[in-house]
Amino acid sequence: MTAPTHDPTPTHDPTQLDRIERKLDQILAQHAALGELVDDGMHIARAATAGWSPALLELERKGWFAMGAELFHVVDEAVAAYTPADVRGLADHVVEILDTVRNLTQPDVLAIANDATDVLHHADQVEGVGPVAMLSATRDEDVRRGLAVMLEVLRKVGQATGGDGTPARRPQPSPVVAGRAPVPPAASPPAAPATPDTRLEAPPADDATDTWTREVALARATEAGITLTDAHWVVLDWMRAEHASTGVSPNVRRISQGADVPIADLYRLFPNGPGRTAARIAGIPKPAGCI
Amino acid sequence: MSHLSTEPRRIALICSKGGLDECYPALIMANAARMSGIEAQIFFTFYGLDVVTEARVDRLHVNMVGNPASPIPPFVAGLPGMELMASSMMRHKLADLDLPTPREMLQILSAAGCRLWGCELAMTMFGRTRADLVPEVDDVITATDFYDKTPGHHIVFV
Repeated sequence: MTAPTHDPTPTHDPTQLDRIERKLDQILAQHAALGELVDDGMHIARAATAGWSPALLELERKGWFAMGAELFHVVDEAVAAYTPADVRGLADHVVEILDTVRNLTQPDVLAIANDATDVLHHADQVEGVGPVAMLSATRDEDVRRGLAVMLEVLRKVGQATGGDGTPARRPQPSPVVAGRAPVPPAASPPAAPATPDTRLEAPPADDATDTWTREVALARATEAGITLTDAHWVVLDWMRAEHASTGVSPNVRRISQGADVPIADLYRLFPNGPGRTAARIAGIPKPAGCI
Repeated sequence: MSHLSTEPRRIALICSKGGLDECYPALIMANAARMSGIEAQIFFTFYGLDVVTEARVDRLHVNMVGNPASPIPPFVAGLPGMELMASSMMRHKLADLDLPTPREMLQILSAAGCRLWGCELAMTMFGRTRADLVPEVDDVITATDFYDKTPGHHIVFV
């Protein structure tokens, strides 16, 4: 930089000249300091640039800027798509939205969503299902519970969207289940099986063996119109022994084989059903089975 | 042994089928009736006649084709030898359960006083004579004879 040349009177006062000279020196010194400052700043800036560039490159490589640009597009589109009224609505319902988000992000819900996504990802490996296969699939416990849950969800959706939009409508049967048995509440286990039918249990034996005597046998034989003979007693004694050893009342065929009495003779000795008649006289339960 | 009616109960079964599985209902129901003090008769007609035919009673087969209750699918059941195999299996199963063979069932029934009849028309149709039937058969009769012999009976067609 040159000394100022516009001074109109450079020669008429030496002291003034000195003063100007000193001032010039001062200015030059300031200028030099400024240059140093700029130099220093450049150094710092260069160092900073050298340090930041790789970091920025790294960020670029990781796609941050691309992502930022995309995010900007998203925001841009969101701004274009939503009106200020929408945003006001958003503000009004922010608590509900957060509640929903919190519910949706519960671990169990996320696990269900994750499982469902897995199935969707493998959808190409799943075979087509007809109505019959669909019906038989409903026998699966898991499918049933899932259906119940889905129906409950459908019901909520139907309530929320039904009619004039009043959310608290009385629950009505979903059209999907019309004509079917009522669906149990969502996610509740299926109703416990009914208690066993006691009518199918065998009736108690009608004759107690411990009170039996020969007199009892005689009385019961007379009741049945039978006069007991030795031939009868062969059968009765064998039946009592058989029942005592096996715990089972022998049927006609078994008596015939065991007591070595032809079946025809058994029917002669004990008419009206030899197995049952003889068992009653012998004081043992009537034989089971149909042979 | 006590019945609501004082009239003795009577049952008459018409056995019209000759399968190993198809003859048992008539034989067992008749025997159960006799064991319960109920009078019983069986009229063997059409293929049911095989059950009382000497040469056939021990060779009765299980009919597998056209039987929706059979566990074997029809196109398999129709293969040669399947019927023999199934019949053999059922015979073994019956023996395991200590169930009498059809022949022994006839002997038991006859001893128990159950009347066994052969159908005359079926005999003519299949070209059989009285000598072709098992000795337990009481007689060969016509359908009208059958009705004459079964007054007051419950008649069951199996």
